[in-house]
Amino acid sequence: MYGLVNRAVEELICRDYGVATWEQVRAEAGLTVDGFISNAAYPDEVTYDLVGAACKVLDQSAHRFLMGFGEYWVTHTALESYGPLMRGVGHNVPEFLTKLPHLHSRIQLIFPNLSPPQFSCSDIGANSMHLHYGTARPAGLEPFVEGLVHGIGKMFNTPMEVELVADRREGADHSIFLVRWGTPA
Amino acid sequence: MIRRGLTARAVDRAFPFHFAFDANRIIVQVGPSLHRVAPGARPGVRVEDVFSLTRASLSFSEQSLESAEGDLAVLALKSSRSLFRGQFERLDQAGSWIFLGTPWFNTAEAVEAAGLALSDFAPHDSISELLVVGQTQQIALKDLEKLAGRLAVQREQFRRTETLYRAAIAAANAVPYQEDFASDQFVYLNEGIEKLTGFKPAELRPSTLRALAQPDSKDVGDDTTLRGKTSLRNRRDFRIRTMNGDERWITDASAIVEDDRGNPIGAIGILEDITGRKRNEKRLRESEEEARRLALVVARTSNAVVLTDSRRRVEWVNEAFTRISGYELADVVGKSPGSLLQGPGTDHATVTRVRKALEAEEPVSFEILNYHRSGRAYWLEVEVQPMRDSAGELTGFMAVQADITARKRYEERLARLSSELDTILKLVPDGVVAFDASGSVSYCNAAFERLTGLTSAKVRGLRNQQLDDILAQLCAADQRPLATADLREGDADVIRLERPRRTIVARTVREVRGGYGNPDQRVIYLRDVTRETEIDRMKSEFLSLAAHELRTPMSSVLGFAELLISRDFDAATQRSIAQTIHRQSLLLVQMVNELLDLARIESGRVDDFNLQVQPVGPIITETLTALLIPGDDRKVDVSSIASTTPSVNVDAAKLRQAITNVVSNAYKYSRGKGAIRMSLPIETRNNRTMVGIRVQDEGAGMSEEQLSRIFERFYRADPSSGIPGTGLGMTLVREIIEIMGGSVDVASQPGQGTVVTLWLPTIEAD
Repeated sequence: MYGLVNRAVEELICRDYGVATWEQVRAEAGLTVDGFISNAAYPDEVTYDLVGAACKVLDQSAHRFLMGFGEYWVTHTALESYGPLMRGVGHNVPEFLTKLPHLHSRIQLIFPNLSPPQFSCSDIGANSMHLHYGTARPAGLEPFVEGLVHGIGKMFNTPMEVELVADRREGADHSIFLVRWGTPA
Repeated sequence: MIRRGLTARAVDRAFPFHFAFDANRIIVQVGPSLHRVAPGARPGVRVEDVFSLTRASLSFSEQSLESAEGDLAVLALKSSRSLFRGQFERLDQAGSWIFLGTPWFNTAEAVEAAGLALSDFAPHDSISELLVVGQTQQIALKDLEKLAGRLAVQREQFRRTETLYRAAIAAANAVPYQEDFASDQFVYLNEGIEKLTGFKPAELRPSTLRALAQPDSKDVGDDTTLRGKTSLRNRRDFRIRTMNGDERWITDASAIVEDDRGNPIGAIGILEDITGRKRNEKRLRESEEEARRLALVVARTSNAVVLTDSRRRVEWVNEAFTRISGYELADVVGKSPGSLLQGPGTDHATVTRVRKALEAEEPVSFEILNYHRSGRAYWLEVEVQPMRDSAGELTGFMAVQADITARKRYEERLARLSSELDTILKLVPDGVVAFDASGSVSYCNAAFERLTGLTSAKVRGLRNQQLDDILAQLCAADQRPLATADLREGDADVIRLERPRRTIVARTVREVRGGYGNPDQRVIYLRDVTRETEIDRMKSEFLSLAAHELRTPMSSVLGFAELLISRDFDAATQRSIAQTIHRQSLLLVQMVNELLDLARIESGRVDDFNLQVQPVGPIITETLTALLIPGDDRKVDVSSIASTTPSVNVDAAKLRQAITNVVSNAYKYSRGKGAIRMSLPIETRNNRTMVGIRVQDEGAGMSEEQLSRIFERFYRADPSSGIPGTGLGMTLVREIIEIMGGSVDVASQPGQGTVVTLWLPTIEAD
């Protein structure tokens, strides 16, 4: 993954638990570098080790940590780094979700080594849709996606409900989320 | 061939910011997004009023546009100076041109500020990707700045650490080095090596440095050499001789540096001056050895040793403590010694004194009665010393205890013996003076005080010579006694004291021998021999007198007997001579009897006296009745004697003998003239009621000189008077009366007569 992801993990832990805890996580993960370059590619294992170490040090489940990280990714990392671009994707939750593939297509042009997830929408209604999620990576990042959707809701001040209705970890060929949204505040 | 014309909708989607103008340069068509950034660009407006070309050589003229057709054209929006990049293309309609381009933005923020969204741009427009790339570059730059900041912090930390290490190395007299085995060169050698060895870094190779090590110190360390290839870490101590000849101890702690294949290629390490440490280690070893020896002494000493903490709880005791008290170390650890060892006989005052001293953290010595575990009491002599640390803080106490039970017993026995001896010396009638080894008076007894009138306080401490001087002052001027110092064991002499009373003293010296047989003390023994000397004198005088007095009648007897044998006399003469012989013989017999009586009485044969309580009157009557004085018909006047007389405890026969002597003298020395009266006066003498048998005559009487000698043996007031007598009568009277507890008074005036009173204590009748 690109350094932006690992850096986001670092920033999340430093913000919520302090630098000393991050150093613990770093040591637990066996990380030898002092920091990450956002647009440099790192092995996926680095990210997995960081998440595993964080769960251990913070005594949190992977589900809880990944959900929090997904939300943080949208509300802080993506918005702070590419706020205008993010906001340019769409003007509301359904528009943003339906145009996510475009965003990833563009980003993939810039970061040729990126293996972005595949998103698509179906059953789009006035307040709900099915969000289809597929990835080349091992199953298990569904909580991260759930956190991402919640983060998008916050981005548009829109209350969200996300329900995993098909899980790759339970045999589905891809995971499907039933996403419901309310009226923006 | 496919016609390339685009529909207007396709043109709007592909070029949402396009605009077209006619030959009059009036805008005739605009893309759907243009108005967002260029509201003034609307149909009917001259293009030059809204836009300008950034290249000064270009204009919106037909000719100028033709020259730039298909090239990059950059327009500036006059109202905001926003830039548009694109190209001009001729339209089919003559003089009409279309600008196909998009607004140019450097940052996403600028897009947003312009009121645009990415959806306003055509999908093929790479502006969004360009912005992402730019934004990503910005983020990457921030990441790099962040890393650079961290590096700066780390460099600062490293600098501080290095400063600290350098200071530590300097403070520790440490010299870091790195050496290369192949070249035998120091890659690095700290300049501190000069202080350590006297050599500058450039003057030393690893081999020359090691050559400084003294041969006898090379094997001191964990490994044998710095180059040891069997261990990655070495540490060894060695003693070097520095450039100026000093010896110094160095420790070399090093690690082997290996190449990529694990072959040792060098070493990195630190040399440190440990001369001071080695010196301290030596002192410590010596100190520990000393402490070990002391501990051994303490453990094996015959005295008990107790160590306590500052709260006086036992921490350690030695074997002697267990032997003396019966308690093992485990029995007493953590306890107060007093709680275990003291008992009913322990002196509370001593315990209190000791406790106060220890509370004041002061040393204290004392003797105390303790109790063995078995209950047996024993005496200890204890010395307690407080123990302090280097800061002077109390850490505990050390008590050394000596078992003095045997000594105490000896002392008690000695005290008893001394008391006995003192009592004996007080009771003995003879004076005793003891001198100590230095020749000073250490003791004198009461008899000495009585003899000399000197007090013990005055005499004690006097030297030989000083006592001699004082004794000399008590003697007559020409009677200075011999010097005490000159007298030896067994020497004896006689001192004639004039003061406080005339006394003859026999002085004897005895030497007291000490434990090694050497005479170190002397005792002077003073015996009052006045009486013995007087008796000796009197005996001699008596023998002389007795011989003389006996010879007189014996001569008469012998002479008259020889006359009768050698000559013939008539009957009358013979009778007269025989009567003389008889009379002289009677005198001899009387003299011998009285001498025997006197001798018996003087020898203390009181048992011969048959004392009985009886009235004195009948004894007097019996005596006077039996008394027959030839040629003298006077009667003793007893008219003043009442019929009832006091009782006395006397031997009646002896009392009759005494009364007879007194009454006989009254008859003899009054020569038939004057009255002889007898009376029984009563007096209280020395709180005792005495009755006097008083005989009073009116005879010749005696002078004072005669009166003073009346009780001397064989003394006769007037031997030339022809009155027969032995001179022993009054002596015998006084002896008899004194034995019966009485006394004799004699009063006399020459020519007036004599009064003799025999005083006897009265006995209350039952």
